[in-house]
Parts: sequence; structure tokens; C-alpha cells
Amino acid sequence: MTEVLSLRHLRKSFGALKVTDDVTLEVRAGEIHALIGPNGAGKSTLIAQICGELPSDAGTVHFQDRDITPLSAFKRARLGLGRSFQTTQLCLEFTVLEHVILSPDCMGGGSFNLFANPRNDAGLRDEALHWIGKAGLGGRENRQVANLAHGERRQLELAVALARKPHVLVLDEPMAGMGAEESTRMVTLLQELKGQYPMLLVEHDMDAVFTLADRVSVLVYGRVIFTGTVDQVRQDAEVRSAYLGDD
Amino acid sequence: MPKPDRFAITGLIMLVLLILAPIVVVQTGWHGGLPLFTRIVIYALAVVSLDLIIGYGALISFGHAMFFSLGGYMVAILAHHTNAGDLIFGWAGSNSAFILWPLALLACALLGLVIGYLALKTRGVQFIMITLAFAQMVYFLLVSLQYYGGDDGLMMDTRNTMAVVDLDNPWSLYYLALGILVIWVLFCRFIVNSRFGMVFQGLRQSERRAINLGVNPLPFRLTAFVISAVGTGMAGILWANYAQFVTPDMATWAKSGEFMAIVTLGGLGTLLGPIAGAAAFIGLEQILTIWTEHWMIVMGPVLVLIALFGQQGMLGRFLKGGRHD
Repeated sequence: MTEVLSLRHLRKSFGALKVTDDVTLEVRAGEIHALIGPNGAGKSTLIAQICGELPSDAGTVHFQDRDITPLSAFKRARLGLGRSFQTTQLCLEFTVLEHVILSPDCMGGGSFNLFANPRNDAGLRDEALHWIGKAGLGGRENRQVANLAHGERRQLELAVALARKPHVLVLDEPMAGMGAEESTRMVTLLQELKGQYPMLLVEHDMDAVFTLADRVSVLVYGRVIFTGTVDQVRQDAEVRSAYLGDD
Repeated sequence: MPKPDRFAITGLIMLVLLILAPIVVVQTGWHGGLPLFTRIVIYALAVVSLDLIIGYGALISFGHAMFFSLGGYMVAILAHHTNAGDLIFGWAGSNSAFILWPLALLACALLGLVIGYLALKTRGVQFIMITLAFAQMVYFLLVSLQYYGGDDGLMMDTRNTMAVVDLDNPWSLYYLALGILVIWVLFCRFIVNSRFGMVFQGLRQSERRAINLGVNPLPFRLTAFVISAVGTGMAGILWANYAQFVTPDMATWAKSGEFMAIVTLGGLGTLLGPIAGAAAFIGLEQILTIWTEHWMIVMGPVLVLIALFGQQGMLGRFLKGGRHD
């Protein structure tokens, strides 16, 4: 199977603390690859390294057979690396529609057109409305982002990422802080998207991981201690002791 | 989409007021009225420009007086040489506004480009301090220009000339300044609602999100900074022609602070609010100085009260209010 995103021997230390310790893993075309691990395992650091917010000490990140290690975050984004953030990062003053319009509009890095108003571009509007509907926010397109509920903001993050037609999605705890009902809706949504976009899913909710993931990697103290299918993870003793807890 | 367009309504009311007010005031017999309104409109041009980057981009420039002074000094110095018959790098010079003003604006754009490029390497408090530092450099440079009057400033013997408008007529100068202000506000309004403006505002609201949409922040912020510098420089040019006198005071940090105070007073990120802010600030200054030399004793508390209770300035709440559900 082809690899869309692959991390090879990635390292990052803060002083003496090895936060990312020789991490090698890959996301294959069409799969959901879940990354799990206890708090402080280095998941967020790893994502920052993948997305280019944090430079790596060693190792490489390959995206669609291209070494993107030296590229800055906005260049990686332009290549089609889409993501959601652990704590939502949204423009609160925009309406939902405006925010999603911004996505395809920025595909090439954003326009310097000082006069055309993208809100009046029928093509962009239709496209944005499509993704808003897809993310389950239909009917709320004129709501200001600041007035959205927490779960809706999560959905909007997804719509914003999808509207850019990403080649891979890096989702940093998309269910974090959600109520049970919202969680279920998000899982359903991700299930619908499964197969269309390769995803690297960082998630604490084990039910969600077991429902969604094709493969799972377990990160402990910056090291990937295990990669395998969902069934293999369930049975692996080391994972159980490190993460799932000894019964 | 805004439901009732509060911006258009407010803008029209302001425009009518600014067209009629000086006529009415002068009719009452007070001839200080026209200069007062000229100062208000010139300041308004500067603070609308500053609002473009502070209000929409959160780029808090504490050095915009440098562009104000550069615009003014450019036309004053060129006029000085022209009238003295000196060659300027082999050029006989000119008094035509159509030649001098674009040159002065170009100088402001270049200064804005260089300083913006360096300052935008930083964020937040560092950005405030670095713009302040550059403005202080410009200030001390102007003070040290003994040939151009140093501390005392430079007189402009004649105003610039324009084909149709007689700048020596204070009424013409006023309505020209007002016309430029109207065009500039409309231009800024276009920018804010444009593709460019959307990205620029997105960067303020969530830089991480904007970067993940593929946006390289620097070119957007730098473009806005340069546009803002040009607008403020235009105000400086008008000021030189109004006062026929430029001094290093135009570049002091106190002047930059005044601009910032006016923007905040009027309402950040509204374009029109700062115009009301300029009218209130300069109007109050005028009234209070008649009453006491220590007018800041009253102005200070007024500013504090507005900052405390009118959280979004004079027009902020109203202009931003009608925008969303």
C-alpha cells in the first residue's frame, strides 16, 4: 500500500527531555491511523513537527513521496496537509460561511486582490455551503463563529480543513471536550469520511479509536512502542500495561 | 452580510456634517472654525490609516508619527529647495502637488516597507517597541537636520500648487482634504472586505489557523503596513500645506500616542469610529485650551472613562453591532 505521510526516525528534545524519540510511522492511502498514548507521551509535539510548527532535531517527514522536512508550516499546508487543532483555532469574528470560504480562497496562499469581495463569489459560496453541510453545520452558515457551541466549533474545524481538499488530515483530538452525543456525531462523521481521506487521528476516546481506526500506534515517552491493527492492539500485553491499564 | 448597512449610514451622516459644519461655524462668526475642522480631517486621515492595521490586523504601531512627519518634511524640503533656486540632485524642483505629493508618498511607502519588514519579525509588545524605536530615530534625525531648521522646524514659504484647486484658499484646502479622506475611507473599506482583507483579518483572529490554510503572514501584514504608512504620510503632506510649517514634533512618540488614543477613542476596527475620535479629541483640545493651558488634566480622565465604560470606543459597539446574528 502506498504511504501518503511517513515519519522517519523523527527526534525532538527539549533540553535533556526526549519528547520525540526516534519515531517512525506512516499513514497509508485511505486508512485511519490512530495515535494513542498517555498524557505527556509527546503526541502534540509530534503533530507540531508534522505540521511544521516545530522544527525537528533529526529525521524526516515525507508527504506524498516528497521530503517536506525543511518546509515551513504554510508551505506544508499548501501541499495539502490539513489539520484540526487540539484546542480549536478559529477566526471567531467571521461567520461560519465566511470562515469556510476563506479555505479554498487561501489554497494558493491567499490573494492580494484588494477589491473583490470573496463573500459575493457564488462559486465559493456554493462550495463552502457544501462542506458546511458535509460537516453537519447546515443551516448555521450565518452564525458567528464566536456564538457556536464547542462541538459545533469542532465540526467547523473539520469543514475548514475539508474545504481545502486536503491529501491527508491530521486530527488532534477531534472529540476532546465533547459531550457523549456530540462525540457520537463526530465519530459518525469521520466514518463517512473514512476511505476518502487518509487520516492521522490522535484521540483519547478508546471507543472512538477502536471504531474508526484501521491501524493504531502507541506512543509512550516519545517512542512508538507498538504499531498494529486494532485487534493486535487489544491483545498486546505491553500496550495494556502502558496504556489501557492492567486488569 | 450586514442587515442595515450601518457603515454607509454613519459614513453619510459624517460626510454631510463635515461638509456643512465649517460653513455653519464660520457663519456664527468664529473664524477658528475652519482651521479646526481642517485639523480634524487631516488627523482623521492619519488615524483611519492607523486603524487599518491596529483594528483589523492587531499590528499596534507606536511609531506612525514617523510617516506623518516624513510626508510633511518631504514636501516642505522640496518646496524649500525649489523656492531657494537650489538644484535637488540636478533637478530644478517643482511646486506642483502632482509631482511632489507622489514623491512624498513614495518615500513613505519605502520607509514603511523597510521598517515594516524589520518590525514584523516581532509580535506584540516587541512590535510596539520596535516601531517606537524607529520613530524616535526619525525624530532625532529631523532634530539633527540643522540645514532644515533642526529643532525649530522648517517654514514653507508657499503652498504646493494644483491645477484646479487653489491650496492657498483655506476652503479649497479643507474640501480637498475632505475629498481625500472620503476616497481613503472607501479604499480602506474595500480592502477590509476584499480577499486580501479577509486573510489579513484571519491572521489577527487566529494566526495558527491562517497558516494552516497556507497563508504566509509576512506579505499580507507588510502590504497593510505600507498602505497604512502611505495614508498617514498623505495626512502629513496635507498638514504641511495647512500649517505651512513642519517641525520634528510631528514625529514625536507623543504624536504616535495621540494617533493611537484617537483610534481607541473612536472605536478600533471600524474606520469611521476614528474619524469621530479625531473630531472629539481635537474638538475637546480646542475647547479645553481656551479654558486652561493644562487641558490634559481634563482630557486624561475623559479618555480613561471612555476606555473603561465605552469598551469599544465611541462608535465601536454601534458599527460592529449590526453585523452578525
